[in-house]
Amino acid sequence: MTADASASPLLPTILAVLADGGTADDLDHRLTTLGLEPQPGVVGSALDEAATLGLVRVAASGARGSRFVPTSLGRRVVTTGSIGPEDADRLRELETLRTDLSATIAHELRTPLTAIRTCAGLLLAEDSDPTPEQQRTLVETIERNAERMQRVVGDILDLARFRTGHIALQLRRFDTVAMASDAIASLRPLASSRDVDLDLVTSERSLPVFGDHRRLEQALVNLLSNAVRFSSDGGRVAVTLDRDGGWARLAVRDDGPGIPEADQARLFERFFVGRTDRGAARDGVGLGLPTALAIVQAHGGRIEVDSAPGEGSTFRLVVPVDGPDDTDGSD
Amino acid sequence: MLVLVVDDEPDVVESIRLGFTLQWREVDVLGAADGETALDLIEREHPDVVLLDVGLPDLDGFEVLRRIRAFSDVPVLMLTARDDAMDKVKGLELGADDYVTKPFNHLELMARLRAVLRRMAMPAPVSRAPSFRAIDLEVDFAAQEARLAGQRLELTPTEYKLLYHLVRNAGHVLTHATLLAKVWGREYVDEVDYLRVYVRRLRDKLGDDPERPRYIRTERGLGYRFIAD
Repeated sequence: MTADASASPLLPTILAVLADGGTADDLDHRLTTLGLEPQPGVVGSALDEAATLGLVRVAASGARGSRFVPTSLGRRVVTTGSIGPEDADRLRELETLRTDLSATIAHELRTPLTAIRTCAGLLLAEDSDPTPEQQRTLVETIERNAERMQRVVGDILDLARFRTGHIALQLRRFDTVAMASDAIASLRPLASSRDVDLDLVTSERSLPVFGDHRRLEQALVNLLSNAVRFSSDGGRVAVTLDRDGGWARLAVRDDGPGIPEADQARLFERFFVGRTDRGAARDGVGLGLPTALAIVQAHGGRIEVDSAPGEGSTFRLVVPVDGPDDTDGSD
Repeated sequence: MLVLVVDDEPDVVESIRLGFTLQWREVDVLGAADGETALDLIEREHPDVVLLDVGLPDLDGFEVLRRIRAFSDVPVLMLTARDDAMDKVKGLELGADDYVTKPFNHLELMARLRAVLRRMAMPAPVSRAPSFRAIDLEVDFAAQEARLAGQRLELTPTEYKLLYHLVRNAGHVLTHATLLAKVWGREYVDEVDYLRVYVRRLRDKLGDDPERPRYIRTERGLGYRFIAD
């Protein structure tokens, strides 16, 4: 793909409609009013393209479909009507990040596949004569790596669906304190293996939220899993829950190496396209942060970061207690 | 024989180790999960071969290779998840001896490793003719060295082998496949990238301009010809 924002002639109009607050569902109607009469499917593919170019992102998904909003780059295209030299640089940068993302995905899939092919080959080879214990090791390695590939494929599909809004949230009211306990329990084995303490700190007995339980737990698990893996052996990770007006805040604090300020400024733009940090990509969850961000944004929320080198990091997942904007918030 | 496997994925290191245990018992395997550890182990343990993953958590695999080459000629096979021709050329330019793309299985890996070892052990070709001269170049077959305007050229064994076959057939085109088979081995006849990298290195050392060659002429789509007087 080239960094050419005029690839679809509909893009500038679509961006203008979105900048005016129009939803994806409104687009067909609005375009028809403007005398453009799009063919079926054209708006969807133009939106996919705009999301891929980093011109729009999904702000929320709900009963009425997904709501897309232009990114800062998308808004500039609307205002200036064209792509300037700076924007072209930004698009090229996005293109590089996408290339990095494909390299990360290639690594994440081909590495476990190597372990699987090597072990399966050794089990099948007539001239190798593994002991029962070695056979067990070979089969366990195959199983572990197949599971890892399954997780990576799931992450990739989730991220792709979220980025283009092709996912429906299953909204209901549930307790985030219980959800956080479950998330912590699922990370306990990894934390124990690294001798990392994992605690839940909250003054709330329950903190109900109208949202997609499974998806929000997935977002929290992704943040927790990074926190545990970036902690030094014997470190501590704490999950704190509180309510701030109409918002529930779930903070994950670690005492890992921290993130330099220069990196923080662009952290989420990078995550939106794809985090390429190889360290974080280990264990097949390198796509976990962009997925977490997409989940939270689909709920109309955000992820905040406080971090400094040597002082650890706090990732705060902030979601509206009454659900995304375009839902009625009732059970 | 001691093989150092540098990969941050423990299952890859362990499955390669098990492969050697079951099928090539003379091999002992050392594992390193990052570049710094690998460099330490190469200095301390002097492995006979290094299998080096390109994507490491601390240093890029290419950077590790660059640092290895600063102090060691140990044969290095690059392991990579990227099947990009540019990556392959970059690794070879930096002095990798071979390149295996993930996902591989133990048979492919062992075949590549055997080919590299065979190449290392292969004696330099000898000729009954004492030497060859063309313009400023003199290749001394007995001493197995080359001089340019009287100055000894620093050639690796592979570069010397390539130059030897070119000058012994001066005036005749040697096809890519012929040169690859003679210098690298029969399983390499399709690896034209290897040949391109080494011809470029040889030309650099000979000060030869491919646009106006004095020594090595590219026969486009065919191979190379050493220009006879």
